This record gives sequence, structure tokens and C-alpha cells, in this order.
Amino acid sequence: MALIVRDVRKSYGNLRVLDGISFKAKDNEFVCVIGRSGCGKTTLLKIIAGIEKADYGEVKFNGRIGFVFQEDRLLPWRTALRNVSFGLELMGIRDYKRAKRLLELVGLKGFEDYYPKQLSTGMRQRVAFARALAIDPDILLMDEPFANLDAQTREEMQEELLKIVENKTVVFVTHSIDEAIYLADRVVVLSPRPARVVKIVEIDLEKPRDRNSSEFLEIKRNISLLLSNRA
Amino acid sequence: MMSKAKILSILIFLSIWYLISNLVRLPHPHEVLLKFLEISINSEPVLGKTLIQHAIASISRVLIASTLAFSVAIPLAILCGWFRVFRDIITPIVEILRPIPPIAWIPLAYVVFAPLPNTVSISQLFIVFIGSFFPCFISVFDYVRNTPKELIEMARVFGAKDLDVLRYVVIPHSVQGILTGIRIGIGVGWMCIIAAEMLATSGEGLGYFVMVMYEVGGRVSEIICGIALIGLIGYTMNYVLLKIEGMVPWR
Repeated sequence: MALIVRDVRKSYGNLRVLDGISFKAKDNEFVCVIGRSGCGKTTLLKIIAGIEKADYGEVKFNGRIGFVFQEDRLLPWRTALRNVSFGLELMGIRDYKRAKRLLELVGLKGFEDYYPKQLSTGMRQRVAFARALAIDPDILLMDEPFANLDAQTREEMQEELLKIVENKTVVFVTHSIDEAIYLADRVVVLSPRPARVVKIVEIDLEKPRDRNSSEFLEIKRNISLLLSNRA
Repeated sequence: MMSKAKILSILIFLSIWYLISNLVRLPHPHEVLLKFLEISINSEPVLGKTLIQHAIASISRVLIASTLAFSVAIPLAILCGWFRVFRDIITPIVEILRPIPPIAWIPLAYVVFAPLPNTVSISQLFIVFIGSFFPCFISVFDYVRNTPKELIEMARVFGAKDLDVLRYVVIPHSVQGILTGIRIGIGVGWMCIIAAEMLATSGEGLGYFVMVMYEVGGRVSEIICGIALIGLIGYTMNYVLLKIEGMVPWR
């Protein structure tokens, strides 16, 4: 399902955070929003998710939202399985089979009855991802979900993510240029605070992408320039 | 098995006791132990009850009164922690009443409960109620107030309404606080019942027993048996409840 963000503005007191953000995500498109740490990316995502109000502008989207946070935000008193089924339970559905299937999908078969504290950071993030998928969302909003992972795990997760969300609209926030180019169909480049859209870059490379190809590195250099103020 | 340090600590305690009991009017540990066994099995003649019966009387009073206290304190603390209206109205009342030592309520309780046939028992239960109520309330309230904002936000993103957040996030998060509140509440309740029993003719109970043993002529061995058992029971209740707290599987 398509998402339209139009001229979204947000201030906290005198601090302007978002200064007229506009972009679109087409059906089944993977959009990365990239910007420096603290530029308001998370705020933008929360506005799209509807848990923060924009001061101005609008977000057009009618559908179910799946959200993956930077921290896993699992409920410590629930097992992996019950964490995955959390969103379903809120909808009044008790479907542990589905939750189990999704745990399997994210590679955690056999860990159904583990509590979050018994799982590694990477595994916990997988559970959080399965939880977001469990409600069969029309869009997935992901807020630097891999930022707390080691480089190795991070690349593995990126690869798996692409396989799993092939038929989903995704808005993925990151500050890693490499991650954005590897994942996205389009990259929305934001300026430092207050955030404006500097440019929207189409990434026209076949997936899975080779991080060391000359095209990849070329795009990386461009975006890097856009992110620094020299552009 | 007991560690070497623990055995040593008990030995030191007993040696000091022997030393002091040679200087002042205090029975030796082994004399107390014999007395303890004697009145645990046979009724102590003045009150006609065994030490165990006195202990059971005190324990049941605490259990009844603190169960009542918890069943009011826990829901109330959750409501106050979660709903602004309750917090604004109830918390100031709690804060005013909380610093009053439970024992200070006794005279008032006697007057208020005077029309009832069992004024003393009801007053004692009331004192324990007061004693266990506040620590439990405060513990649960703190846990509810400190529910991680991130988890509440997560639940909201997944479409949780206010009551869903309460049910799925706030209350489960507060289980730990409830258990701690129960443990501390029972501990305070135990101290209160002993004090309350000392102040009135309650017929039985460890506090009453200790007081009577003093009044009939300073029976030091019996008195020590009584206070030793009071300590032992207090320790055991705390220990058991700590173990239960530790059984929470997600900690």
C-alpha cells in the first residue's frame, strides 16, 4: 500500500526538528530515510505511525502498521512466542501457530519458550521483527533496527530482511549509507536539524547488491556528499 | 550445607551469650534451648498453651490482616499509578497517613471498635492492616509509575488502548513490585502484631506470651524463647517470600 508524506513539520518548543518533509513510498517499495544521528528521523517515523502529531502537513496512509524499533522493546515477561503474538492478541486473535511460523521465518525455530533475557541481541531483534510481521502489516516502519548489532549479524539480517519483505512497503530509517544503498529502492536523504529532504536518490541496482561494485561505491560517494554540508 | 563463616558466626554469637549470661541475670543458651523444647511440646502452665500455639495465633492474625491490606493496596496502587485522577486524589492522603507509626493507632482503634464484641482482636487486625498496607502500596505504585515508556509506546504502536496498556504492559511489569510489596508488608505486619499483642489481653500470641512471662515475674528463659521464635518466624517469612520473588522466570 502506498504512503504519502506531505510537508510534515514538527517543533519541540523552539527547536525545529522537521522542516517540511515530503516523500512517497509506492506499493511494495523499500524506502530508506537517511540522515545524521539526531536529525529527527525517529520523530518522522513516529508521526507516520501516528503516535506523534505533526504540527503541520499530512500523512496519507490507510492500513495496518508494523513497527520495528531500534531497541527490541520485547516484553520481558513474555516468551519469544508470546511476544510475537502480542500484536495479534491486541486485535483479539490468539493464533500461536502463526506466531510460531513467523519465528521460524526469522530463523528462531525452537526458541518459542525462551524469555528475551535468554536470547542474544540479534535474536531479540529477530523476535521484534517477527512481532511486526505477525499482524500482517500493510507497511513496515523500521527505526534503525540493526544499529545495535555487530557488523557481521547486521549484514546477515539485511540480507534476510530483503528476502522476507519482498512484497511489502517498507520505510526504513538509518544513518548508515551502506545499509541504505544495500536495502532501498529509493533513498530519502535528510539534512541535519531541522531536517529537510535534500534529495531522493533512486537506487537502480539489481538485488542482492554487491557492496563493493563500482556503481555501489559511486552512489555511496554521492550520498555521502549530500549528507555533508558541502553539497 | 552451612558455610564455615556461618558456623563461625553462630559460635561467636553463642560464646558472647555465655559470657554475658555469667555476668547478668540471663540464662545460658542451653537452658533456653531446653525450655524452648519443653514449652513447644507441653503447654506453658501460666497461659495453658504451647509456644507453637502462640506462634500460630500470631501468624494467622498477620496473614488475615495483611491479605486484606494487600487486596486493597495492590489494586489501589495500580489505579493511582496509572490514572491521573486517582493519583491526584489518593496519593496525598496516603502521604499524610503513611508516616504515622501503626502502633499510634491503637488507642483510637480501641475506641472506634469498642462497640464490637471482640474489640481487641479487631484492633490488632487493624494495626497489622495499617502496617502492611503502606509498604505494599508504595512498592506497587513505584513499579507502576516506572513502567518503561518504551514498552508503553511499543504497545500503542501496535494499537493498544489505555486498558490494553494497563493489562498487557503495566500490570505484568508490576508483578515484581507486587511481590516485593507483599514481602515487605508481611514483615512490617509481623512487627505490628507482636507490638499490638503486648498492649492488650489477647489470650494468645507470641507478643502476648512474652509480655505475660515478664509480668508473672520476669521469666527470662520463656521471654527469650518467645523473642527467638518471633525472630525465627520473621526471618523465615522473609526468606520464603524472597525465594518466591526469585522464581519469576523472566528476571
